[in-house]
Amino acid sequence: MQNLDIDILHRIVEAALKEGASYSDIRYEELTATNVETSKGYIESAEQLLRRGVGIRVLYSGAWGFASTEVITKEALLRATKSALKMAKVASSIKEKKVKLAGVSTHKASVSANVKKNPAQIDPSEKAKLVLELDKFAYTHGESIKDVTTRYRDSNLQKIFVSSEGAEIQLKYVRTYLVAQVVAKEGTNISPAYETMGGVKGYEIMEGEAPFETVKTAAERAVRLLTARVPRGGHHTVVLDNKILALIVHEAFGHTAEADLVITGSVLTGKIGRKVASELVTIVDDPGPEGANGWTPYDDEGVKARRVVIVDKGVLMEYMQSRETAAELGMEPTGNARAQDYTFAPIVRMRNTYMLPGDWEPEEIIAETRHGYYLKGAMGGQADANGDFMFNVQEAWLIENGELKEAYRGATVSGNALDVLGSIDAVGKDLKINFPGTCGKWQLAPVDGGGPHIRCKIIVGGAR
Amino acid sequence: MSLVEKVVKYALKLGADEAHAVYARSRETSIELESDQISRTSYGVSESIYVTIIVGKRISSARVNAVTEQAALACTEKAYRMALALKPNENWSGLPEPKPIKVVPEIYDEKVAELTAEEIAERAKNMLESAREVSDKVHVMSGNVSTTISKYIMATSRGFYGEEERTAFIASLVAVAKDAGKVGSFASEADASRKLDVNVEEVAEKAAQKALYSLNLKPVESFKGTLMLDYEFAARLIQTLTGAYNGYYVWKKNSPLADKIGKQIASEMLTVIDDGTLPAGLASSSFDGEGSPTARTVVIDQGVLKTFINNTFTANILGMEPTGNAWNLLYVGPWNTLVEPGDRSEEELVSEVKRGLIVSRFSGMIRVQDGLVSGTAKQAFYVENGKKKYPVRECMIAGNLYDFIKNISALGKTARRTPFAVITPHIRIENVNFISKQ
Repeated sequence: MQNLDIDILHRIVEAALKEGASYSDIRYEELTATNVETSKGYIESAEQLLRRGVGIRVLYSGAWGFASTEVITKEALLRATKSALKMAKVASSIKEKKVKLAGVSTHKASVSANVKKNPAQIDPSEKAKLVLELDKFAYTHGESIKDVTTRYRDSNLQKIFVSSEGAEIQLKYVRTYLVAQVVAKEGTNISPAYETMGGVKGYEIMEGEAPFETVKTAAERAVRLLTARVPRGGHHTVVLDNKILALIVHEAFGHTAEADLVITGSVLTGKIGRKVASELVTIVDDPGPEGANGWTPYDDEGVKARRVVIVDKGVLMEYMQSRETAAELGMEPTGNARAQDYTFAPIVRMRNTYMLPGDWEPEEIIAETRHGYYLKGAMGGQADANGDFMFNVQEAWLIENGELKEAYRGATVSGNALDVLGSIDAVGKDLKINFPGTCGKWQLAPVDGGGPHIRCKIIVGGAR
Repeated sequence: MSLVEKVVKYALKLGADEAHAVYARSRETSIELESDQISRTSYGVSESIYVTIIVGKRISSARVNAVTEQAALACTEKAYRMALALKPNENWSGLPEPKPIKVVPEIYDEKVAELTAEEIAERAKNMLESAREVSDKVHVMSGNVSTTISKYIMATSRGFYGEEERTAFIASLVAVAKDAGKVGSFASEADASRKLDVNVEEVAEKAAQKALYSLNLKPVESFKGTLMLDYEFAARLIQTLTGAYNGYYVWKKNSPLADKIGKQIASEMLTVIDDGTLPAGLASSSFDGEGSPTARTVVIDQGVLKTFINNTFTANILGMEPTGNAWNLLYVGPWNTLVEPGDRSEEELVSEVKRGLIVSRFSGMIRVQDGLVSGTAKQAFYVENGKKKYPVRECMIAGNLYDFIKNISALGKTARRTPFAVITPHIRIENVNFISKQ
């Protein structure tokens, strides 16, 4: 960090109180990042980024005001504080419901991501060499592979949070990612596939076989699905791989358990203590484990993050909260308030959301399925307040009498989260939490999730 | 000498063959709504400089914010050092020669720039109240009224220098209806403009109406029939189609239109124009990301594919002419996408439908590479024998984008702007499969 005296941050939040704010917090962030991307066998884009700034939040007469600045001098920070106060005054004059904050214990802490090799210490030429090798490796998976993009990204993020209640949290994040995109083409058939790896991890994940495995998965899938048909649409018994389950748990279910959406009206509003899923289902949102993409030891309100057991054996236990939603619902803050960066005020977000394992071997689930599909690889999707969702899956294998028969190219799966979670009748032992993603709920946030293989009923969309 | 010119000069001094620098500054004031309340208000200023350096076909970039001359020059050095660590990109053919720029009118509106936080908040409050006035069952899940004032300055080592100021006013609302323990589907509506001509009350009413009718839905049986795309869905479909005629994706084998120039790829009713020069256009700009003048390019003319959109980089690779569509030196993107309107009023479009759905929102995948359309119709109305019957419980749409554009049977006569910078009328498509979820 350059030229920043933490005492200045304390003085700024104190100044906000003197101006009439009942609460104030300030977040300083400094991000350095490197992106290297290939195209057509060459390094096409090599980028280095440096971004720093401060976000100031004030609570004045029950209304929030927020301002951000990139000029980090005491004078500029005071100006930004005045802007935030002005915004809060504007809001308080028209706001009916006053904001209250749930009380929390105040922490002074400093936490750094535990990585072996900080990518900032690795020579850029090494990163460039790696993506070119991976690019070349992708093309070896078949003559039908016509285009490959390998995209490497790393970042170092330092955050300092200071509040008028005396909190002072310093966090250091290190992130490393790889994305492989492969397009196979033969005649008029085009088959795209992609695979990602990474999280709050160091460059060590790029050493060894893992990046090659990632590229291989994408390349083999693109080739395999080149001539595959689209599956027959309808309501089917399906076995979901860890990644698709991750998406359902996050998108279709997780969002409806975010307290801000619960307050507006979600399918889980007022259902604490009620059965919302099969009793085989336990779902948590976790600030860890270490290395997961949504790792959040303290949230962007300085709250020490804790594990939220959203569903325990099918019963809805609790929601994910910010200090504001917790006060409104009369519940406890959980450390789920996160902001995209210093230009945003935090809102309720998931961190690492996953289903706990059961007692089936994944192979056993498939072997015990008479007719259905085994769905693999997710490619994003959308969900609704009522729990209805729609996701893109990369491939679907037809299961006949316990055996995988034919691969179909992915289409969409849809349904209602509660119906799907209610229909789960087998949960695997193979917990996997390594599906780094970026969630876009008005702001972007790095998240992770997962779970084991499971069996349920779902609507597979495809040809008629 | 401006900072971007200093950066370019410094890059050449370090040993670069070519250099390109962009300075961007934006000031945003935003009033957010959440859970039927004004929730957050924010004001932010950000600026950055982005420099790209080419040394022996090795291309490297660096960005820094909190711009000072010292930081900009340090950033230039960083990009230069990185370039030396790379291998040449043999596809690189050089920066374009500067061409005369024609200034696009009305992309900066003082009325937007001078709007105070109080005035923006007043509009947000009006939007909130308008949504509630529609029905007490309607709740505002989230929303936003904001203004952005941005400045953009670019210089290249070929001698290009350009600067432009732009404004944007954006209003968006997501509503949900609740009744007796039942929760409907999200209903969103948004409008954005360079000028102060967005009607926030109208945005709110539309979102609220959609939320309300997605509360009492009836299922339909699976059938094959007519799909009428409301503005939002039409914009989404056309936006996906822009990817298929984007020179970068054509080169990257991501488009089935790669060998279709001069061929009939869509109904004769479909004419699509990419226009970076549209006065007051949300995506208009006088010059593109490499400093070339933007243009008005007829891409699909009465169903015939005329060209791809390109920057200098992709145009050279594909053996075509650039169309002023550089997002930056490497990537290509559309500006405003205009679909020529047809001749039918909304009533006429509906009256000719034997059996079909009018769909406002589509939650699903439209895949550019193979055209796969698979997903769920949201806020959809069932139509039978020319009459709007009832809103439909989620129903899946299965088909193919490239078949859809061939099967267009009519276009509405009123085109409307959408926040995607797609200006489109209603689009009516025949022979679409609707799959009941029941």
